Amino acid sequence: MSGALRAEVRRITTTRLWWSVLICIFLLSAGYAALPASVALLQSKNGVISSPFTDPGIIRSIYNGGNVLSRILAMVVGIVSIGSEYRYGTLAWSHLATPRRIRMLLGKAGALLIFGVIYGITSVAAGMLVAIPFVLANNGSLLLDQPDTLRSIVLGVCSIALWTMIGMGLGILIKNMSIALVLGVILGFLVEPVVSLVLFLKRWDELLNVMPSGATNAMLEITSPVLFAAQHPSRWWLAGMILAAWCLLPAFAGLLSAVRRDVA
Amino acid sequence: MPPIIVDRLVKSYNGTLAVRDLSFVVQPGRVTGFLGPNGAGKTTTMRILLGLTSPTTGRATFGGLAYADLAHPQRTVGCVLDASFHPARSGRNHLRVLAATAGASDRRIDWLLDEVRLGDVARRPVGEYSTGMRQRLALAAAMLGKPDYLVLDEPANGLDPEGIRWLRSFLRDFAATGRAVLISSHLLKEIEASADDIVVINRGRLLAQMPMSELNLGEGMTRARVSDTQAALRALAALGVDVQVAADERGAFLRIPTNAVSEVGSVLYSSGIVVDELATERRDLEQEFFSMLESSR
Repeated sequence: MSGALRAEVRRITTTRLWWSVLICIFLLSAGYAALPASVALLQSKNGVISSPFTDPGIIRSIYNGGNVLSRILAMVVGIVSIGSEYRYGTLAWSHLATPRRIRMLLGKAGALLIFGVIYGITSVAAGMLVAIPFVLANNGSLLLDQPDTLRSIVLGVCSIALWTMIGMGLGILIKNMSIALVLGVILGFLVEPVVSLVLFLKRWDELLNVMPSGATNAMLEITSPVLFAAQHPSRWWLAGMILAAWCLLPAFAGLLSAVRRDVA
Repeated sequence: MPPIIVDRLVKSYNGTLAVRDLSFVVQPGRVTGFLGPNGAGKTTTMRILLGLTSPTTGRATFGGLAYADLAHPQRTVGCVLDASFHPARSGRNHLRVLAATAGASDRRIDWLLDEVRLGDVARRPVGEYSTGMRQRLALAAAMLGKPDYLVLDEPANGLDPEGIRWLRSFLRDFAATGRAVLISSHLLKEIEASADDIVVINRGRLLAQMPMSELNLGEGMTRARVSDTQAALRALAALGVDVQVAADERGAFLRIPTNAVSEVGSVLYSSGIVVDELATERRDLEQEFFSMLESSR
């Protein structure tokens, strides 16, 4: 691990934010994974579907149940990790330690990506822990031997990691941490879902598939109407590229501005 | 070891010049005091030197290399700027973050924390530290990579008398090993006690760069406050010394480079000039500093 990356990992692990968010992600993911599992159980008891816990779609939606909240929290970590440097005037320390600005920002991006992966694993692990009792009690299967399930797990982790990058880009672009946070949360919880809802109701799947949450849903092959997911999602790899573009866009714009401007 | 060279530095903010064609050299083995009133351009110059601010034109280098081009910046240059820290991070953890790029061990971190008298509070959040403690933590951070150069912007801010004395001896010991120190401070007594050279700037321009020895500090002077300055200057020309007109909060006065107070009094009396004040004074850096500022206006 390079010095810049190691420094940034230490920077994250030496405040309480990372593990506070980790605990939140675990608990919220478990709660959100229990929702589709419970709905499936009810439907099975009512005879709507038979043996739901062998259905790959239902199993995948339990594993990635926490994704919708975890990705927003991951974005918050991205915003705060950069925003707090502006807020407390500590960015100069990073610049003095790694004066090549692109190298310094890559170190920050790398460290955030590592924690994004950890958050992703935590979210999916919480989903899997919730799935186990449902599967065991209903003669189901965890389907871990199926490539589609494994791909869904990996992409679930990756999608959450990519959202930390969206947060980092926002944090660089908007130097005021509070404004960046409010904006990020409003975009994630209000603007984006409302726009997605309109696109969903109009059945404009092409546009829905290029929204950040639409791309995430498509990447995870989620087609649930509850999440305003497109009924004809993009292929998972194309959705992954669209999401990567969403996180690269603010990150690249932030990178350009951070490289040019003087350090406050 | 090569010097720090500031070469024809210019920094303009939206057409306003903060630094104007500034050039000076910080020699190895010496402590160089960087002086100037508020807004003179000291901090801007130091930030350019450290690559935090880009110059409009000109260069600032350590041994011919800009800060950003140094292979191991923290092992080459140690610096103290505004001592900003994340309040929730402990002092020790702050150093651990910096140690990752400086290549310093945990053992060196603990040694440095003891050296700056923060060993007992090293694991407490920096938010609980006083200004002086933060300043000492910044000094420990500057020394993490055992650098060859020190660039310190107001390092004595918030330090108690014991801390200031420690800093003074630390800087002298550091320079004695052939390494270079550039230090800015408003505490002129401190600079007088610790610097070998001074660089004085005002409104971004160089006013003087000289060894402290050339200032002849400590020599006796006579201060005369008189009713008619011009008449007194004419009368004192008979002494054959270079009489200066200076000013303080009470107004203009004459500074005569001689210990012979009675002789000065006699000349003024015989010329019929009313004398409000006649006293000996020891030349110190503060007087020299204000004289330089006065003469630049």
